[in-house]
Amino acid sequence: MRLPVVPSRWLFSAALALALGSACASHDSATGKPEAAPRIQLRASIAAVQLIQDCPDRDPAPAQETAKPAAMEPPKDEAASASQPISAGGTLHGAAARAVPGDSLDGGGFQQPCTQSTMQLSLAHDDDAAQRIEVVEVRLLKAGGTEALGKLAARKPSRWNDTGVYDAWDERVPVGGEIKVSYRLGEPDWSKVQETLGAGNDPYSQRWILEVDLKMDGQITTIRSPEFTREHPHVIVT
Amino acid sequence: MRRHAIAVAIAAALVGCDTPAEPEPVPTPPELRLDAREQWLSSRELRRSTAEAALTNHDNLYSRERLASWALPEGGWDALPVWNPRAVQLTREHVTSLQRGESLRLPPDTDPFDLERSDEALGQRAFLELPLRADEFIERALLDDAFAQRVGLHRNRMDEYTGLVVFADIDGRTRVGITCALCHATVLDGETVPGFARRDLDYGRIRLAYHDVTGAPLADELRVRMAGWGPGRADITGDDDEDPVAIPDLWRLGELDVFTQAGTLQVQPFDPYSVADVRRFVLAFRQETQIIQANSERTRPPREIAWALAQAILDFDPGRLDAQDPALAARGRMLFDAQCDECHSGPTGSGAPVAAERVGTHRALADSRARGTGRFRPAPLVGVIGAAPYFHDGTVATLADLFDPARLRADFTRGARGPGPVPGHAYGTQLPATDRSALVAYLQTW
Repeated sequence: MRLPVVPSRWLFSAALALALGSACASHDSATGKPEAAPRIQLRASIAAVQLIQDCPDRDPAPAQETAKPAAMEPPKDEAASASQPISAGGTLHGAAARAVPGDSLDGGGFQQPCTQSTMQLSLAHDDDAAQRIEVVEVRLLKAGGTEALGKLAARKPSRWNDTGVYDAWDERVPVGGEIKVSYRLGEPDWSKVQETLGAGNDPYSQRWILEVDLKMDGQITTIRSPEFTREHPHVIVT
Repeated sequence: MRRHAIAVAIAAALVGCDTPAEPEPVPTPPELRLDAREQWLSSRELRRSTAEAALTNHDNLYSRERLASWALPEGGWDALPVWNPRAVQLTREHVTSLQRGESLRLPPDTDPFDLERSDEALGQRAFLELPLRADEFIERALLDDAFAQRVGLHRNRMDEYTGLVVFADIDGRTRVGITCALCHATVLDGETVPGFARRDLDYGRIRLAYHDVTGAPLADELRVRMAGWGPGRADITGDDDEDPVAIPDLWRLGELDVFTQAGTLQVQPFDPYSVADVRRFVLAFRQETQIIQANSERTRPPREIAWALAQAILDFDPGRLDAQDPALAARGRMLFDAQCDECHSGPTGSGAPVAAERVGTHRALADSRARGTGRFRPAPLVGVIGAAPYFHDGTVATLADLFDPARLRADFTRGARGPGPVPGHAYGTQLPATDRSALVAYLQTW
């Protein structure tokens, strides 16, 4: 879903033209209106958002030789001592399980499971030169609402390639065709979100949308996501 | 014949019966399939209409997620990149490599799925080999052969782990992935049997063991829940409610009009499509959205794969068995027709969903925020003799116990989840013992 584009430079041009008066403004010879420089038309939409966890950014570790793995079920007392609570801030601790997005590693170096929050976008433009895009702001809103309850940082842009992989991406949108991209998302300040929602309103039960400001060629385009829910990290959905 | 073999295996394993009947082949109209397929692949409006008609309760999470993102004019899941994965069946050789601490390797000549293959061939391969997602818990479990066997990770005679693959994921890593066949196929006498629920798959135990061995933390509440699932059960809904379900068989879905135990999806015909068309559409919708969500909504599958997968699972059939005692079964049939047919009707013995309070079983699933409808679908009876434990949550161990009035009493000790009463579905418990035996004898022939 796309909101009306707010072309800030057009507004600036219009204001400038008004300020200087008609004698100083350039005019369209046919209509007499000020000539607006042709703007690049960005076509952008949000394909999906998953709001689960924010995992540390690490590249997958290289394959490593490991010692013979332990049997799967240790004695009961060992199992009990290995169980550790998840801290309130969402930091995950575990001597034998390091937190890495994407979970396990080749070679048997097992990790603390962590499922990264992401948003997936579809982007295209009509210019005849590649254009750089920037995610200016990502806001969290209740579905159907207008007030932003929090902001999320978008990072690690990646682009879908023809071989079936999301590759690191320089945020340049090429000429012609549509590209599919993905950003990792940080978490909003859930305590503030909860404060706004009020006690008894579970953020996991709430329907959310993201509002994303994208900047290309100096123009801001705001797009909205489909509704989604915040997901518990441990759920399995089939 | 495959179905004959399944029926024999089920009978031998569960009732000692060795007199299977030759099953009737289920005809499939290829012209209809082709026509429906083309329309499904090309029409966003059709896909949208299907979702709106099929979702029973538009307010539950399952429905809202789909209505918010499925087949939109702009954005939503149609705008996701299409991922055609490269995957091969996980073999003993792969696992041996893992156990030696070596990296998983996908053969360099592994191709993506061939979308030009017939629906049958593509769908069968997708059922067995399409990675729904990577699973680090299972990857870790495979390092211990004895444990893997105990929790239901089995190899077939080809030395392949049914339901597990090695695949190249969308972040460029090589992973162990799970497929539909992990839960909905089992291994009998070395043969993979698609459609037959993996009732010894203990996914809760797999996850608990992972946390214990790696030291990865797990909240105590979750530990208790996962320990309580037991073999053949898991909580697979998107909410945080505690509503585990028994893994269902996928027998003769092509004759069902309601899908999932809570009746989350229904075959609701709309013009100008036939019931058979709409059933295919509903299952294709179910499969595609399931794959999208399993892959964290970062990609969608080629629509041809989801369609073919849906068609492949329509026809799984265990075959039927002859009655061990025909006279007793005939009496059972009379009782069934008189007392059960109101709910368990039609060729599969399922029927229209029934209000949860009328069924009386544990109603968390029927009421769940995730997929709840306030109702339960009458359990299909195809292959019911091999489907223990019974009820949607797998709490009754045998058919005899299901009809035993003792099940409803506080001193009942044979519950599949431990001692204590197992309330609900009291139908049949009021019958004399001989009639209850007759009902069981008849149900064995389904």
